[in-house]
Amino acid sequence: MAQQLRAIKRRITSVKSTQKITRAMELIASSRVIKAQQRVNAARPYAEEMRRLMTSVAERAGTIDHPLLSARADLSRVGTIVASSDRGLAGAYNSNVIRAAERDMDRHGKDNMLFLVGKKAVSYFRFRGYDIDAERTWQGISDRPSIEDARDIARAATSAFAEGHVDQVRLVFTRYESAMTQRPTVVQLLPLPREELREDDDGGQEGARPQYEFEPEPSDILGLLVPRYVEGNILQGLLEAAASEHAARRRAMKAATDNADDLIDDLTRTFNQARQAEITTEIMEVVGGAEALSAPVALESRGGGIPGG
Amino acid sequence: MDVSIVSPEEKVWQGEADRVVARSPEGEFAILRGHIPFLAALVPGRVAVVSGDDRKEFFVPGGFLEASGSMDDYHVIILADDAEDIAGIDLEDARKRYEEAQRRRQEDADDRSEAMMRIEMARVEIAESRGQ
Repeated sequence: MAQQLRAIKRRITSVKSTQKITRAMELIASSRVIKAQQRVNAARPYAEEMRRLMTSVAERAGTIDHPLLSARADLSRVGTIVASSDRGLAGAYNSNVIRAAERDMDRHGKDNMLFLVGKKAVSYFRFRGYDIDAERTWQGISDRPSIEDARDIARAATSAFAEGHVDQVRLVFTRYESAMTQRPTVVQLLPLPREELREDDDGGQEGARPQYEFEPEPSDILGLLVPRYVEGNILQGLLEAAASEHAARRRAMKAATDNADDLIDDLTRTFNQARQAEITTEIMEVVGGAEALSAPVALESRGGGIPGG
Repeated sequence: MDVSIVSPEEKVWQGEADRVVARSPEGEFAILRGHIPFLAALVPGRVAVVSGDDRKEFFVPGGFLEASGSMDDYHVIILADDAEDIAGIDLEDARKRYEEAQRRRQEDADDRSEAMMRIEMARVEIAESRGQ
């Protein structure tokens, strides 16, 4: 009995200490979500402005003639950039984005070249027997991606495209829609989708676009804009992925903490029951013992009573 | 006019100014309020934002400048690859980075190492000539 009590007590202690860890991780993730979200927002003005310029310049450059913009007839070789995380304990975050990447790879092309961000994607695809070049993996950046990281990835993917190793480049990441919703998303980076250059983001509010004077020529400016546009898109994707990772970890750790609460409640109830059972048994024993002791006395007194009666 | 300097990661600076001076491949230019809509690529160098007696200077390794709007509502946006307050550049450090970039270009002469070296060279020149 006492042994059982001790065992339950030990489990409660161990669940409590696990809960301390999950709660700490939840708090850390919460503060990181906020920071990561701020970084997503901070990077937005550049992306929006860049897009506006691209549209203006592409319009003026007339025939859009840039190697990174021209679609190829054969699209069978696809370069896929997958943004996963380095650390686990983030619920289904990594498996969701990896599954989205696999589905997209099945649908587009047969021959894939992988560009992997985060340990999780690297170990998953390596285990699956994909050919993974260490030059095309980036680890230790998913937490807090910088523009240098994005440039590095953009350079690798762009040169694979320019040298004809792949016919298109796609980016798979988890879009941070809100604190509650994050969605695995696939975007085509290269060749740059033309509809993106035509679409007017401000809904025609601005009316006619200004007739710019260009320095140098529009086609030269376009050549400089396109690589930066790709870098900016990759950075945006990585930043959203980081925010999503922290949000997913916070949710997973909150669930674990709540779970620990339930478990502790259950264990405490079991513990109390066992203790009560033990006390009851002890009382029974005491009462039983007392009765056993008092029984002869009662008999004696009764025995004494008979002669007296 | 409203001037903002934006890098891929964040808005570096925003404020009112009378004049913006920067450098495109075709040379240095200045933008005043009401300039015809203008879009320029920037070469490594100085971007100066002048407002009365106040002058802010940034080192920009590359990027774009866009200016447009009406007389009452005119704006200049600088999309910079990076923007660094020139006052904060450590000259010794800048020289070291330049030497390093030179060494790299010698080892591996391609467009990229060449471009990196030009950026570091411009950075040293800007830091040397500051306050002049």
